[in-house]
Order: sequence, then C-alpha cells, then structure tokens
Amino acid sequence: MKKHYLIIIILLLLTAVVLTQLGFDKQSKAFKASAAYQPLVASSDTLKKLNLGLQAALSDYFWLQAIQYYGGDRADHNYQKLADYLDLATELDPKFSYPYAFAALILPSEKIDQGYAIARKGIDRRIPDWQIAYYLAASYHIYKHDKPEAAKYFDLAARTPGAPSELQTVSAAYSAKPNARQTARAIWQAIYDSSSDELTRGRAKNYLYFYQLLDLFDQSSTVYKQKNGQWPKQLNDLVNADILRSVPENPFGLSLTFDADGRVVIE
Amino acid sequence: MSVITTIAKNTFKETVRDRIFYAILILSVLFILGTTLFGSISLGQDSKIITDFGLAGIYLFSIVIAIFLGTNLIYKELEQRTAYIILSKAVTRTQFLVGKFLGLAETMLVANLIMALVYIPLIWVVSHAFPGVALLAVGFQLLETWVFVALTILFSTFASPVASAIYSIIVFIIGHAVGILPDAAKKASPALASFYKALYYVLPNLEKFNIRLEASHALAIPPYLIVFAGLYALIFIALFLMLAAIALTAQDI
Repeated sequence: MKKHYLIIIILLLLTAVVLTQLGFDKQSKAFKASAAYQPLVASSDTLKKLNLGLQAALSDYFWLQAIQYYGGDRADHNYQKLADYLDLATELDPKFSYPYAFAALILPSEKIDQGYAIARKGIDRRIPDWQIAYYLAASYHIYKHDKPEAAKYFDLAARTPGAPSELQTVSAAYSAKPNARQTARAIWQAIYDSSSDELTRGRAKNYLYFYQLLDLFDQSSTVYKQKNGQWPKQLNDLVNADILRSVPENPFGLSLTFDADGRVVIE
Repeated sequence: MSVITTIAKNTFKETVRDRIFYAILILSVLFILGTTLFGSISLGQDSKIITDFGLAGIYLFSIVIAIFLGTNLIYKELEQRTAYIILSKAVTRTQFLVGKFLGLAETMLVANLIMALVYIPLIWVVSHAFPGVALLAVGFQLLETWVFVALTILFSTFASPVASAIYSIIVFIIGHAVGILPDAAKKASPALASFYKALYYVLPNLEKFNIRLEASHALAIPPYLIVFAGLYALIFIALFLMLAAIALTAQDI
C-alpha cells in the first residue's frame, strides 16, 4: 500500500476515535442524568481490610466520586448513593473532615438523616473541624426546624478551636431571634462567607437569593393590600396589579403562594 | 567488601540503563504532576488530594520498578550463565546476592529521590507548609520497596520473571492484608486460631511501612515506629537474601 494511502487511513481512524469518544460522552452524560443510573458502591468493611495500604488515596477517590456524582446533571435529583460515597470516604480515612460537614448540608432532605448520621460520626470521632457541627446545626434549623438540636450544634461549632468569630454571634443570637427567615439568612450568609468550596457556596447563594425573593413578595403583598384592600391569593396577582413586571423564578423551582395573612408560603 | 561494592556498582549501572526504568520514572513524574488536576476538582481539598495521590503514585510506581528490575536480576545472570563465571571466582553466593541487592536498592533510592524532588515542592507550594511527614512517608515506602527488592531477588533465583512477578504481587497483597488474621482468629476454633496467629507473626506485615494516613493529616510519628520499621525491613531483607543463597546452593550454582 502506498505511503499516502496509509496516512489517509490513519487520519480517518483518528477521526473515528474522536467521533466515538464524543458519541460515548454524549450517551454517558444522558445515561448518568437519567433515573436508571445508580452507581455501584463497594462496602466499606471490605475496602477497610483490602486496600493495599492505600486508605488515604482511596478515601480521596470516593470523595471525588461523591462530588462528581452530586455535581452531575441528574434530572430527578435523586442522589441515592451520595451518602454511601461520603460514608466510604470517612470510613477509609476517619480524619478526613470535610465529607462529614458536606454530608450534613448537601444530602437531599429525604436522605438528610443519613447525612446527620455521617456528620455525628465526625463529631463522635472528635474531628476538630467547626464546619461539621455548624453545617449540622444549619441543617437541623432549615430542614427539620429542630431548634434545640440546632442550638446545641451551633454552640458546639462556636466552641470548636479555629471557628470564625462570626460564628459566636450566630450561635449567641440563635435563641434570641424571633424571625426564622432572618435567622436562616444569617446562617447561610455565614456559610457563604466562610466556605471555600463552590458547591456549598452555590447552595448558600441560592438560599440567600431565595430569601430576597420571599422578602420582595411579602413587600409586594403589602402594596397589593394597600391598593386593593385585600391580600393577594397567588403570585400572578402581583403582576396583574402592575406591582411586579413578572414573577421571578426561584432557584429551587418551588411553587409559592400567599397565606390568609398575605405572607408568601411554599405551596 | 570491595567485591560486594563492585557487584553493587555494576548492578546499579546496569539497572539505571534499563529503558523500563526510565519509562516508569517518567510516567511516575507525570502522574505526580497530574495529581494537581484531581486537586482542582476536590472542593478545596487539593492539598490532601495531592499528598495522598502523590504518595500512592510514588509507592505503586516504586513497586512496579522493583518488580520489573528485581525479577530479572538473578534470572538473567543464570540464563546467560554469567552468574556461574562470577561465582566460580573468589565470590561467595552471599557476596553476589548482597551486591545485587545493594545495587538495585541504590537504583530504588535514586528513583524515590527523583519522585520526591517533584512531589515535596508540589505539596509545599499548595499547602504553604513543608510536608515533613509526607517526606518521612516516602522514606517508609522506600524501606518497603527495599524489602520487595530482596523478595524479588529471592524469587528470581528459582523462577522465571513472569512467575516471580506473580509471586511478588501475591506477597504484596498478603503483606497488606495480614491485619485481618487476628480478627479471623477471634472467630475461629482454638487450633485454627493458633495457626492464624502464627501466620500473622511470620508473614511480612507491609502495613508497618504505611504512614500514608498520618502524612495525609501531618500527624506526628512516634520514634518507636521509625525504629521498628527500620529493624523489620532489615530482618526481612537479611532473611530473603539468605533464602536466596540457599536456593542458589540447592541448584548447585
């Protein structure tokens, strides 16, 4: 075969390689975003015994897997295996602190008890990282509305060496503040200011924006009452009354409405 | 002593000229530099990720180099019959084996120094602190690699390179799993429990050279650990080289 034919064939094969990879990536992304995909996660008992002395590197590997899994584009947001990955990371390297804190805050509400179990494991192991107790407290306040538990963990976080000074204020003011939204906003603001990871900061930013929206709807509701003599029933009433140009999308896609006192609530 | 030094020097020269040595060393350096990519997607845990993956890389690549070079070392001399010429002169089997071991151990030292020269400054830059424990962990890994060199020399006295590599990998796996034997002994019958316990004490426990978790969190290493790891490595190296000398004698070499 002549030399230039060979070069053409090699170029064609290289093009085919690139096209195959592109096709694979496209299919793989779609599959991983679908509900059918749930990765197989190894048992921590087995890996603790058979890891060829590479516990630390394996723990990091499962931490990276957890991030990739959570950061993927799952359409159903059903992160069933996230707790398993975080549990593995903390079992293989019990001193790896961030997965404990991450579990408390990031696990979806229906899996949050698993997240609490992982975070409490970190506290029981006396991992000296204030973020574990702080995120646990924040989560108890936001998802469970459990004020005594939240206060307990805020206090623990504030007493942990290395905790930022803002935390003392949040912890001290927690029991005194009557307005739940105001408290939650302060908690998320502290998380946003103190966290260096973009996933947690992104989540905090979404919450801070969400509370801004709720404030806007409450203020608009008062204006509506002044104009029409009654409270609005739904968000579109504010648009129809020319108070808002349009209803801004909230970052969590929640359906919002008004209660009998004109305060915005989740439907 | 000069006989051992001569054999060691020649072995060192011979092994560092091996293309496989360079290929694996280049791969290992690329891997260590590549750990920064993993660090960048770790949500702020980059210092830990680079420390752990870097150490794991140095460790695994060192084991691979030891297997590739060690399993061929004596076997090649026996195949090409050069060992017979050397041993027919005033060189004892022990001098021959110790010389071979020291030469390859020096090669492993150089390989680890090169990898550490890339790895340590990298963590230093990322974590803004000198990674003393990580450097010590590289030293512990080097001790394990030297035990492994002695083991591959032992296997290469009676087995082909492929068989030696398989045996070495089996010992490598067992050496890191012997910690399960005391747990198994608790659940076994008294006779079996004694057997498990005997195995636990006799088999090489390679976890003695593992301070990678401590390096990951820069934890203090108690001095007794350094003393015992050094002593343990020395005993096993001596044991494997003596067994290798016996194996050569048994084959009338």
